Amino acid sequence: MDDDIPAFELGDKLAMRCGNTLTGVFVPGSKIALSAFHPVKWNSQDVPTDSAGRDPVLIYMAEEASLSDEPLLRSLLAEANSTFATLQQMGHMKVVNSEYLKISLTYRSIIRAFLEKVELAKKSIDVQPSQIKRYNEAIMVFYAVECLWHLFEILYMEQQQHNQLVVQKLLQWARFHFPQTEDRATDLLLMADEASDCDDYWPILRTLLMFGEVDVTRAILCQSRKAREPAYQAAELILKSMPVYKEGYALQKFLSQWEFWHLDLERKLQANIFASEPELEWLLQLVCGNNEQWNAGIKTSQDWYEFLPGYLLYTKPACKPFELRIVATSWLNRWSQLKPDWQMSNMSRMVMQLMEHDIKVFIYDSQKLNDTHWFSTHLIDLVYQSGHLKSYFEQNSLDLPALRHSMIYEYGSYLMTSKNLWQFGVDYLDCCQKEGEAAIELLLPRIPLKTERQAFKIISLARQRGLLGVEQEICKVLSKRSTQEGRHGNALEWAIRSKDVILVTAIADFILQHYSNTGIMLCPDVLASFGARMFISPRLVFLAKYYEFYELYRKREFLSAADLLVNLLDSKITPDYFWPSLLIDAVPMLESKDPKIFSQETVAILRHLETELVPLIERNKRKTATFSNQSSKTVFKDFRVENIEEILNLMRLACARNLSRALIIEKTLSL
Amino acid sequence: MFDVEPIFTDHKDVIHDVVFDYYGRRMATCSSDQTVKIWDEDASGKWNVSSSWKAHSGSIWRVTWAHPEFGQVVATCSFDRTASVWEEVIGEKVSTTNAPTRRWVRRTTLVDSRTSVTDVEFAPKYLGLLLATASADGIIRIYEAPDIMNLSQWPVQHEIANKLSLSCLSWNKSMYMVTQLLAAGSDDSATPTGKVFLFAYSENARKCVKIETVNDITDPVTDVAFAPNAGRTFHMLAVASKDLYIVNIRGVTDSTGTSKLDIQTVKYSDHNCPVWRVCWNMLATMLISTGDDGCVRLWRMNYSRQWRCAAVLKACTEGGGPTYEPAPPTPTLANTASATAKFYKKGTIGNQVPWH
Repeated sequence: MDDDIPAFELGDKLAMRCGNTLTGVFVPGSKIALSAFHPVKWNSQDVPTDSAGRDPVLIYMAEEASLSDEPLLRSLLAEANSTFATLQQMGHMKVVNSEYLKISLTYRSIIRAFLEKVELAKKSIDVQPSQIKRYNEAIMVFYAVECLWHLFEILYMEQQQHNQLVVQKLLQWARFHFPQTEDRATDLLLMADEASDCDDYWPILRTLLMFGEVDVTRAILCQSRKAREPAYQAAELILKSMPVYKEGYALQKFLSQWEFWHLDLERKLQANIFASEPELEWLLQLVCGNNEQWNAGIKTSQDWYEFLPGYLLYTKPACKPFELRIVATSWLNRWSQLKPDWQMSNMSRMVMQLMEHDIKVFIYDSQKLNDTHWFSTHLIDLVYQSGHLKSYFEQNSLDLPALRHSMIYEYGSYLMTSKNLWQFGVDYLDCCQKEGEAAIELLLPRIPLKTERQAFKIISLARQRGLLGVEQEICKVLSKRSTQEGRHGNALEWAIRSKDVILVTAIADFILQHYSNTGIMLCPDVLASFGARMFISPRLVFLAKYYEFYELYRKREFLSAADLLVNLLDSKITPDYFWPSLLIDAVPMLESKDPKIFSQETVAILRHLETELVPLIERNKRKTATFSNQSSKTVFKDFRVENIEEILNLMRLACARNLSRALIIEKTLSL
Repeated sequence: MFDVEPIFTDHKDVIHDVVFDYYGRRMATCSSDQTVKIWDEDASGKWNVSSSWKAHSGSIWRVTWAHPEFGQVVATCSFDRTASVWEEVIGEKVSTTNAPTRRWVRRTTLVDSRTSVTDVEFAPKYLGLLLATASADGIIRIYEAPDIMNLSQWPVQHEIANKLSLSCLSWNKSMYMVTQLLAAGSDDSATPTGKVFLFAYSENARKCVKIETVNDITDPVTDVAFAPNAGRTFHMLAVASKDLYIVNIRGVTDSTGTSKLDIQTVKYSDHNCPVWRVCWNMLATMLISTGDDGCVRLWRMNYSRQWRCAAVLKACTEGGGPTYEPAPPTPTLANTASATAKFYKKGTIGNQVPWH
């Protein structure tokens, strides 16, 4: 297979220079970034390279050409996704083959609907030339997909339940994919007896017959002005009496009837019954399967398989799928002899592979279609689910379950890493067991978070799958992003959601420090609404409680405020840096003319002043002494505590004054 | 067929590293011209430089992104013997119509190394905000930012000395089996010994220690990369050396009940020449190797879990001349240059690289 490795050429000047090479990295998503590479050893000198400033330095974003970013394709992907889900559901129950056939039909009708939509879009007025090119490409690819799927369905899915006769089905298939003749036939029918004046009257009739449209041919012939003549009458009789296999017939009986009819036709041709009407005779030669006439027909056909079903109808009407292999091979040989300069297209080759029962190669080739592996993935899954071809895969030592798993896994992860398609991808990865789950866990958090709404969507998907880590990660990213944008309330909300105590504490610290530095309380609306969620972090509890105090104070509810303040002082959750701020908050209330703080509380404040703040100042002093190079205010950056000693004295005095006032009013001595 | 979109980088010398952020929407490039550039992808898929600055006084070897939950942070390492950590800050909004200005601020310069710092990489996020550097004197240093709200402090947590000069390192992203697993490679060519080393945190020694040397690889190593782990029960390490290697690392428990690492090395000689760089895709289903033969090889794991080369991307063209003639980077011509060019493809079969 080594020669089979596809090679692509870039032609970058810098990368082609002597000593340089090309390097590439994966871009998260589906791209590859290529650039010139200049190898260096650790001990080489650091000097500008020869090419410095001469060759332009480029990066190439390379992406395998695909249609998946085509908006029209979205509906196809979405509908296929839900059909796929239905099929997986069926996998859990035992269902009859006809159900699988229905799924196959659904897939095909999805493609047909898509093709119609694209055709329509092509005709819209404001369509760009570049778009038309893309549309044509899409039509080409998915048209081929439908054609191949249809044939696969006839040969490998329907035969399981029917009588294994494929000719009629193949005729339908061929007619559908070469519809031009049918249109012309309709024209001829509408023209009634004037039809025979058309230049291409006979060529159309010939083509019709080669597509096995015996009845339509008859109808057109009947309208002819010569319809009453004996040759026409005889032809009508032959065509009318042609035995057609119908459901429930005994095959042997049909075959002997057909043999009889065929011999009769041969005899009549030999008897020159139609010699007076050479064109009509030509038609009947075709019906008889005469080589000369068919060879002439082959030369007018567009692809090798176009008239094969018709030929079968007149020469081997009871052909079974396994016989098709031989017939198709000889037909193809005959075809390529008659058209020596014909090049086999991809699709023609794949049709051949299907007819020759060469499924292994077919599966390989189907992955080369430019459909982002839509076809191969869904078809292989359907084959696996329905259990068809099981023995074939076993004989050819092809591990179908592994192949299916791998295809779905790749397709799902491809969708998940494509812009706007990730939601479809999740469903595919969901049926890849542990590996799929792990892939979702890796890919889900890496979907770019454009809006919070999208973030919630991803989080709920993660939750459904119990991926707590993903939820946490997304919350933390959004928290960090909000912090960077200065939306601190939002940052705190996301941090709480992430349940990361360190992060919550860090943000609460930031808000408290900001307050003690500037006197401005950030995001008050958020701080008021924590409820029980605040208990995630002691620091957040402190922040919430402090904010409560701040609000009470602002509303001049001094008694409750004082109460809360003392509670906070007692709480043992006050961060070191906030002590000065907290104690200073007490000063106005202590200095109030009518006491707001009772004697007991005043004593408590005084105690905290002496047991918390004073040692803190001492510690700070020592630190500043040992590390004289550091700035003196490692803990107190607060502008209000620049003169901390002064404030300390002020506070002591305020406490003393309030204590005396309170004691007088309380008239009790509980010391 | 590949669609190719060329980007003029305006770097004045070769690029040594192109690295994408977690989402693939931002790109950092560093070059011998001593500058770092940060690129952003806009809604239409175009890449624009959003920042560019002179970051070092020597060639910049590598650049690495921190996980976005630590903010917009990159680290760089250079021939000038330092590594630096940079953080993007958003300025005050000047007006309501303009987007706020963004700029990158140097948070710290790590000056512990006495030789060229050859590689730098942030640890997986579950370990916190950790940064490992490898240097030419053979020392691996692991730094930690204790305060994620303030990235100016980066004390050294571990320092591991090795006998050989180091050229590259890679953190293992997965927590399976071993925590804090780190691989480093040496491009020393004087000794015939193993060139890939594995380090892990030892509970007993309470520090990071060397736990294993991959003895199968004795040629100079220029790049190592741990694969992301999507549900595998073993670790994969890609190694760029004289050939491409994939090292499978399994944890096994022997008869005495002690667990150790079982190391299996697979060699891929398709390049037929030294390999310089390796890179995994997001799920480790694909691998890119950079050969000295002017080729990038794309490897794919097939359904029976074998690695196969799936495509070759060549620097040169059959005719020898560039198929894509870059226009001088003037504003008017840059437009025409950004029009999609296509890879010429050898052969006529198919459109897509098959998966299996």
